[in-house]
Amino acid sequence: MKKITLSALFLILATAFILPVIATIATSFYGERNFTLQNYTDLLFDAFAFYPAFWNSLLYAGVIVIVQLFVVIPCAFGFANASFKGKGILFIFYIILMMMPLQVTILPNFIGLRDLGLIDTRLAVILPAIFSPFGVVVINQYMQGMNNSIIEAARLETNSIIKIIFHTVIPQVKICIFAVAVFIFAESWNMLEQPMLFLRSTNLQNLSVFISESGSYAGNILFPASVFFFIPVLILYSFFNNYLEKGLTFGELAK
Amino acid sequence: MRFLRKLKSWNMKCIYLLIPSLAGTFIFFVIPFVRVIYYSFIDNQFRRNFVGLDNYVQTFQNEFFQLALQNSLLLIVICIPVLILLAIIISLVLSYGIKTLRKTRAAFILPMLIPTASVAEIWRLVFTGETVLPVYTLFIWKNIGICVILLTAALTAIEPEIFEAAKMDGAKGIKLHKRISVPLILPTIIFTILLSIVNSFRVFKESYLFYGTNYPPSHSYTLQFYMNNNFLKLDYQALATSSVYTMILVIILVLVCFGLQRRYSR
Amino acid sequence: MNKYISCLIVFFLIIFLFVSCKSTIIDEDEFIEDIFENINMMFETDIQDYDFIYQMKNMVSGVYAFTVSDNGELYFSNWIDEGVVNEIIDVFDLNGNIIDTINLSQFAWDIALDELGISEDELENLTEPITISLDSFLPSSMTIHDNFIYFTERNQFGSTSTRVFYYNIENEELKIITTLESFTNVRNIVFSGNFLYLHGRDVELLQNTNRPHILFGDSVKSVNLITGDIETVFDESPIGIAGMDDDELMVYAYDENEGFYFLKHGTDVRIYNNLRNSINNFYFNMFGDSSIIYSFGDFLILTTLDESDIERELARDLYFLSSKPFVARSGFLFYNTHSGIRRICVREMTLGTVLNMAHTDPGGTAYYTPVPVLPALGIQTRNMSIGYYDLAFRILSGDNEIDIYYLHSQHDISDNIRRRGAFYTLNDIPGIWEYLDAVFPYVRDAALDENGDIWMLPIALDTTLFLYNERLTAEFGIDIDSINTFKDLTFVINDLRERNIPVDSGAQYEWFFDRYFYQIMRNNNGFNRNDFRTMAEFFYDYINFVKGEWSFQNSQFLNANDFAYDEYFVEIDGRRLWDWRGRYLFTPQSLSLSRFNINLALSHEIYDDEMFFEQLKSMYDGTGVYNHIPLNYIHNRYMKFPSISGMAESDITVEFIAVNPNSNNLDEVIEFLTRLIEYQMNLENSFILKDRSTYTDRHYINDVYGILNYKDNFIRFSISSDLIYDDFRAFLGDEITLDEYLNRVEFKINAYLNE
Repeated sequence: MKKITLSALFLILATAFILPVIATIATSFYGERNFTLQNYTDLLFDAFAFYPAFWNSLLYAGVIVIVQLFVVIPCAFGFANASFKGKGILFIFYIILMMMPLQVTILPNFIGLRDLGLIDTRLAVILPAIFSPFGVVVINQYMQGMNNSIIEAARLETNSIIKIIFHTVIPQVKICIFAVAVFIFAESWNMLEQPMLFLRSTNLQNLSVFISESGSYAGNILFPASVFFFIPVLILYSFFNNYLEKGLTFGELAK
Repeated sequence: MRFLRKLKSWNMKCIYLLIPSLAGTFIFFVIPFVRVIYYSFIDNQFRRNFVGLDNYVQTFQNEFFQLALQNSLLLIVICIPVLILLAIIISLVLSYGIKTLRKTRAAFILPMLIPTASVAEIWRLVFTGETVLPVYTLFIWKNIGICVILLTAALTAIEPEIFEAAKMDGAKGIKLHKRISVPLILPTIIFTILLSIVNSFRVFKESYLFYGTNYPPSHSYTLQFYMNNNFLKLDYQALATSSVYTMILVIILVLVCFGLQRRYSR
Repeated sequence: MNKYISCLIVFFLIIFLFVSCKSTIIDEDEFIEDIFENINMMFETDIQDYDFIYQMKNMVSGVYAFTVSDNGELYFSNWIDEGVVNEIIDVFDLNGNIIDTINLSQFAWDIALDELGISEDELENLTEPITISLDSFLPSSMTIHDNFIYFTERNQFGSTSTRVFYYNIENEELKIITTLESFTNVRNIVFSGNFLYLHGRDVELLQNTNRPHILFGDSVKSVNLITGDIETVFDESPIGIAGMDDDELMVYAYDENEGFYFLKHGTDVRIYNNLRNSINNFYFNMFGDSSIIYSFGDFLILTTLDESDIERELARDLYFLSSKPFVARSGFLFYNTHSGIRRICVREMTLGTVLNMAHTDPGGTAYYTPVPVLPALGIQTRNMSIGYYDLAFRILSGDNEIDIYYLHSQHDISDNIRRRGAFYTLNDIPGIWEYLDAVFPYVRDAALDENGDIWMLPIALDTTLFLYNERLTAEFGIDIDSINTFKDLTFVINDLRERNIPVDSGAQYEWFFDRYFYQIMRNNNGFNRNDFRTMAEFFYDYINFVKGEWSFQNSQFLNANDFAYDEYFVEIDGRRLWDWRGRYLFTPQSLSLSRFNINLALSHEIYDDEMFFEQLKSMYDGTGVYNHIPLNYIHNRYMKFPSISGMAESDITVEFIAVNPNSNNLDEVIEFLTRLIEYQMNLENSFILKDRSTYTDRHYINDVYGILNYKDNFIRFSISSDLIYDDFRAFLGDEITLDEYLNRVEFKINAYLNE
């Protein structure tokens, strides 16, 4: 009995959380007091800026995630396994950098990018995001709990550190890496201020910017655009979900 | 000897791995950071006279900075515990609960993917701006996703043998989780707390769109509004100093969290 | 599950890819590049950029009509303000220097006499009063041929006839060629052979069609310059016309079933244009060499008339351009931007430094931000409209793209620029100290910061005036001198209402709110609870615009600013005929707008009712043709607008230029400002300089000077009333109490001032 009420409560909680999402989807079909596809046609056929924005978002998020993983995984591994003076302080410094609110850093960031001549290019948005300290901090977190014996064993077999990482480390923290990847993807996907301020040309803007300016297009396209906004990440996440499900067979034993 | 050399080179190799990240972070994060510090010591962007700690004193004494700080801290103190508790419960259920409940995973992840603009619209239909409730709920709603992701990922890393062992000791149900699962992922929990604190300082767009103005009611006037308004008034110094203050605050929190983490990890 | 998802993804991706390929965004710069590409291709040239922007001085609104002579001289027409508003045509040479200004207004008297058929002498010996209309004839379409400028006038409101003029450049003579009845909005005038061809709205055609669209109801008429005969040449939905080299006429028209086509007048051969297009508002111009550039709505299409080329669709598909008509002549392509004409040199390439001038529109309830317009000084400026946050960001980041800012004292950011020192000091600009001594003292004060440095160059002033008709208000028993505050005014208005005299309360409630707020903020000294309480109570009781007690009446016929007017009508054959413009008792008027409306301000007074009756009768003579109401300005007076808050001084605002200290073109900026100062100092009539008017016989001008000269005037740099507008509305609508409202306002204002 208790289980059922608890489960019911949980379901209610889940519904409460998803309500705004459903509201967004519902409103996207709403116009003139009844169900209509008008908003979608306004978006897909009249608001031409939508498509480049969509692909740009995909491009930025995709590139950022992939390159960041290549940068971050070795770095986190290094943090976990190397020892040198000041490592702790360096790590704390990383966390501090992570903390800086965007409003403050965006201006000096802009000046820096301008000095490098990157303003109004795609790199202005991609490069700073790649080196975000977030990935390092989080994955390092997960790497702490790694099984070192496997690594030791691998070291005896080969000298190539890359191979070691690839074969021994990644499998262990695969899920965590994937979780972080999804998160980074979502963050990059949601990026708003940086594209707005670092990119001047309309054809380089991403979907978040498009949505924030959706008022200036004809028709009510805010909600359909929002729906298209979260679909790709949802799809990505559903892959992760299935993957995660598979890895949770052990969890069943915990009941 | 050979072993020592190997050790040394292993260490060096690990250090080499840090270089790309360090280089990038240096260019794109450290330098802006240093710039911000520099700006906090000059009188304004155009005359660039060094004024020492005057800006810091001014900001500290500014009643609106104090109000903003207070509101931001209030948000943290109230929302974070609620958020984390909720996230833990949800993660546990999603990881170990019955299959149907597990399928509701998406419900908690989606909020973080919805663009703020549309959410603000919906929130406005439901809430009025009399209290801080809309902002708090919005914050919790949006951040549950990342917390759940991180916590569930951590839970999967728990070796199943531990559960077997605990079961044999007779523990089951909620007790099992309270005693075993939660403590095991405590480092991640602490980290999630930290992350949420960082995110709490980012709640600006939501608040701004909800209230539709740069000057919300006094109960919602947070640090971001303080900073944004000063930005529009071309007073970058207020931003720089208030963000340094925020950072100092956060550093303290970080050190505390780290200390706790060291205590609890094995 | 996975399979389904992947299929769905692939499906969506395919659709997206497909549709994406079909869409492109081209912004204006890319579009310009494309034009160059095409022009270069057609003319075998190598231009990279536009080379010139011509700008008018003291422009009241955008460029109206323009044309180019065969030797590349540019003529363009507009109203300008030099104390009174005149219609002029400016003439520029190939290098962008102004070589002549033709003042058309000076001919008003002669033309009026001409139309009445009276000579000057006969005028002396008149026994009965007559009415003389001093019309404005602003060219709405122009062409030039052999030292003659042929133009049609912009139609006055309600008029359905258009006069065609010619101006003899050598003799400096202006004459009417003919008047076209039932023909308006002449879009294009072309000289070809001995004919003038005109493309405009045909009132009769229009009445016979039930299509509301601009395509239907146009026709092309010809005027034989020798005989004066008028003929309708083409009336099947013409879209544009052009003169061909063989003295023929080419028409571009629209066939409902077949689409767009070209037709040479006198032949039947139609050449169709197979371009994807939608019917929208458009303008169009053609030029020789068998090429056409035409725009409609936001699209511009470049094509040729050559049969084969059209089928090949040389025209690129769709471009975005926010411009209007343009002309190509003698190796240049000219097109109209907001504030001037852009010239693209097709034959040769010349470039000069262009200064980027940023102006911002902070939005807001009541304030109208004019697009900056500067005189032609030989240095080109490019207007950039920049949003508020963007501007702050650029200033803080030391942006060097913007050279100068054109701002207004009512913008929040103006004060911040001054306080934070985000400007280049102008102390050393030649002539600036003399200029500051020549302007009103409070303008000088506004231009200096607390260190005594000059931080901006004031260009123009604006304030709100109160226009009233001396005679009529006396007739209606209104004591103008007793109206000092807005409250006094509301009593007068209520009194008039009770006497059933039509009063329009005006739709600009936000403007009153804004003015009141501006006045009580007293230069940002802080929140004064009593002031705000008084303001709130006053609005709640008298101008509660949320509760709809003040509403807009008769909007289509009256200036939105009207307060009170005297309705006048006559009964003819049982029909009541209204003088839709009434006679003003009083109305508010902005100084800057009043320059534009000064002709309007001069109207509505007649000598006696008999005459008025006759005039009105003649207005309704069956054909619905309107003539002007006669003008006599002697009874129009200006007063300072009643203080809304009870303050004594008028609220005056100033438009100014400030310089970006990080600009790369400081030398050119300094040169530009030097020339601008010289220009301002040499104005014959100006409302920013002390004692600078040649129209001292006009009492209303003296009135305005009196107001501007008031010793206690000062210019405030204020915070925006938008800060509390929503809360104010909530209070007026009873959503919150007065105390709640005051608390909120206190918080917000203190926050703004003290953050």
